[in-house]
Amino acid sequence: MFGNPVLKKELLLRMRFRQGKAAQIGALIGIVLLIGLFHYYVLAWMLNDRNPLTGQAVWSIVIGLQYLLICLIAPVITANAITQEKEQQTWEMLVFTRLLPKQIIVGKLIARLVPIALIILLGLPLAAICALYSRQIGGHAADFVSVGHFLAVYLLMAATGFFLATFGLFASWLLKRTLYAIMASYTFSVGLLLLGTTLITTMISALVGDNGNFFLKCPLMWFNPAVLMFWAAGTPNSSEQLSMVVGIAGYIGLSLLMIWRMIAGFRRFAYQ
Amino acid sequence: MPPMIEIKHLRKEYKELVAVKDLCLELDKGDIFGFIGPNGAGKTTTIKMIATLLMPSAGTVIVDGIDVVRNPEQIRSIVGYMPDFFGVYDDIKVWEYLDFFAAAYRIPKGQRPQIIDDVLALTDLTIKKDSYVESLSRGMKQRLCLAKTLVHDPKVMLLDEPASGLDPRARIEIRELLLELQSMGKTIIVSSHILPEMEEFCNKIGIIERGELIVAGDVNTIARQVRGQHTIEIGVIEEMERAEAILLGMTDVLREVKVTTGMREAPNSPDEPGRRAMTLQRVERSGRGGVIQIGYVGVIDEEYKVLAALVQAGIKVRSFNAPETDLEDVFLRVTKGQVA
Repeated sequence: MFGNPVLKKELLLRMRFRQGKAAQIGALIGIVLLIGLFHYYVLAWMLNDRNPLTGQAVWSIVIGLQYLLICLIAPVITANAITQEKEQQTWEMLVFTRLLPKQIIVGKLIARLVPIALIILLGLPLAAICALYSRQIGGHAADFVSVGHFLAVYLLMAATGFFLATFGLFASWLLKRTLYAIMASYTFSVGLLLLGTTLITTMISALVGDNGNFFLKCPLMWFNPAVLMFWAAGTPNSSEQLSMVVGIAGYIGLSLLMIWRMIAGFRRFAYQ
Repeated sequence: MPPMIEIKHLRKEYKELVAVKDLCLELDKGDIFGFIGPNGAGKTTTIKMIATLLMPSAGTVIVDGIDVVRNPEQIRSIVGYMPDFFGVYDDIKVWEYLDFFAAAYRIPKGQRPQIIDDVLALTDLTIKKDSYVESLSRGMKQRLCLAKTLVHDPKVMLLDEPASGLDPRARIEIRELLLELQSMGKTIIVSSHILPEMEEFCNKIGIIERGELIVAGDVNTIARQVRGQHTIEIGVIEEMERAEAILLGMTDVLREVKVTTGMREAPNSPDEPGRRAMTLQRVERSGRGGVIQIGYVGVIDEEYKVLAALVQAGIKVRSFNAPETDLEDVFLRVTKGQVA
């Protein structure tokens, strides 16, 4: 995978910091300080409170923030991956090389997933401390964040990031302009996944005269990222856990389907 | 020896529009083929079909024995393509840019540094190896794109308007580079609007209009076909009138005989005072020597007979040569300014 020229080029272009050494060190110190301060204040709050529920509350806030960031960044981070090549007139030269379609698609996708991975990794220690602290202090068993729960939350985060980023890339592959690809990505993630599923489910609930149970049980909501995180951040019951599994599997399955479509349709696309 | 490029009845349709019609062409190894035509005539479409970037509606294109539609991957390993409009990546150094394309053409990592050095030397960009691509001038970017086109050592190069938008010096550099590539045995198809330059480095040309290849072949042969004659200039030291009379008598091989002994500026037009008149008029006679231009319509290999006739008659001939073909004249004669 690391021999993929597209991946290497994308990482090189995206990670390059052309300012001088001093600016590089300054930026690094700034980032470390910011993250350090955030960790410090969160931990200080939690330690002073000494309440198992606080640990879980902080855990919920940390993963909520991470998830929000991923949902905001993922659709846009890949939306220019191919349209930018078309706009700056490098696409034709790229497809004319002997690179395989899967090298181009996968290389671009993986390179652009790096910031999402960083968001997950940067919040991971704090989330882990919160979860462990919650267990350490004790309290009701239901308030604990188990290892399985912890892993499931991060699996949901990774799957959502992967799904939204893949959709952004798919829009970039399909459309000619970055602006249109970004609009399509956000329309899909916010308009359809978040608001669309909620509105449709609400309408169906109203029509069937539901007392509130249907809303969360409707399969459409299993693909709503906000609902999935709402379940994950709390203590999901077995029905919600099953819905989460279906949601995560759906995200991964749809992502793989889009990747397959891009690769399979690539040659025909280049010939059009 | 089979032709390096063999195009048979190539056609490209976009719904109602026929961009390329029944195009047939053969090019040998080492040919530099100048693809000439007005905007929208079908040059880029043809080049893209050869480059496997467009699927032909009909016809075949064979490059070095390989069918472009059946084996596009193989074609890409032996063809270098430089599009008419291209961009470069920002935040990348010249050597990194070439290294990326070398890797994309599956050149082993160990061989890449040497290849990069070689193509940079060839395109005279060695000094810019560690510069960022966006800092290069337009001409340098053009040469970098050519360098990129060369990293996998293609047998055939497809260059779509490689000199467009360049200043005269940069155009000369590109021209010299093309001649060097020809000497390396590469077959080159180059499209351009700058016809005088095409004359200098193309041994074959093709003129395309409304998707139809009107003429194609050797530059001088085409000029002869188009004009119906082959122009020869004969420098005579003296006895111009007698030389002219001898030539006028050779009606079986000569179509026209024009005495062009010199030029003088025409006077300013009276209704445009102060404006320098650019019209030049021929001087009818200048007494002793001069130049006679003849339109030869006989067999090419027997041109010497005209010279022999003059020499045998005692005419002192100073020079006997074919002037450079005026490609613009040929182009204007065969095209109607229509697009597909």
